[in-house]
Amino acid sequence: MNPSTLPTNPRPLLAAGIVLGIGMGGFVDGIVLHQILQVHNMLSARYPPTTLVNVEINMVWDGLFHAFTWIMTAVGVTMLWKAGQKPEVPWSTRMLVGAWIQGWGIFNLVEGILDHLLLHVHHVIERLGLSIADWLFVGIGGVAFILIGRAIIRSGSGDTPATHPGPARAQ
Amino acid sequence: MNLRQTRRPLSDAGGTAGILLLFPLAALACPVCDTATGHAVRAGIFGSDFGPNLLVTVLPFLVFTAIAAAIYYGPPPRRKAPKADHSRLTEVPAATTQTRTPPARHEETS
Repeated sequence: MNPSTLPTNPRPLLAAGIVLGIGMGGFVDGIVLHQILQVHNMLSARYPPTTLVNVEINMVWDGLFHAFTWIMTAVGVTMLWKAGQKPEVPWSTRMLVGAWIQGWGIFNLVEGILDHLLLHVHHVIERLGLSIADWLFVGIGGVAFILIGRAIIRSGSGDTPATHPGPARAQ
Repeated sequence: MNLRQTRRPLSDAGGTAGILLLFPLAALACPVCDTATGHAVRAGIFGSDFGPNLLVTVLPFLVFTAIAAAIYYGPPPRRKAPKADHSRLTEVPAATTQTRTPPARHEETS
């Protein structure tokens, strides 16, 4: 079938990019904020990391958090692989990058609202408690990233399977 | 016999032991360590808060999964209707501009 006559379905690519963005956004949070800067940990508002025991307890929950982000990333890679095998999916770099940024924003928005603002299990800078940093995390890291990602996705909405031939269309 | 070669393993072992002695608690505080600190860590993890802690750790990922499923299985995205190309109107043959007459109805005769 001629690719130009195929119906275009960007959903598998967008979903893959968003899941990848969620997983890798989680890794950015965990690696940069939990491990390198150590400004908070998964349960640092409940178990302040001021004693060795509490540091160890937080380390276990951080590990569980990273395990889930690893699973999300693995699922995203699998979804991207499957999307590449569907001839109706546009192989659009702009859509993938936009979805990736949107997924990162979704991670920051959901995690920020649930863990930082509602459940108070940790905050961006734990020694400050709930602070402007948490609102910036949700506002910029969440809402702004989602809008930026949306704009990039829209810029590639004209891409079709024919304009961006991927592996499945190369034959 | 070279004395340096025979003494090196001893100095290496001594160095490793020395480093471990500098951090005795860190070396024995793992959650599976059979020490007082290890027991305290295990008690902190698997205490009465284990369920709620597990829930708050998993909860965002349940939301992420729901969002991803909604995007993947949701209705197709709305597409903008293509703008009308008025320049083509002049190329339309006159015959096609005639109004269509509805097909004749079959009137039932009883």
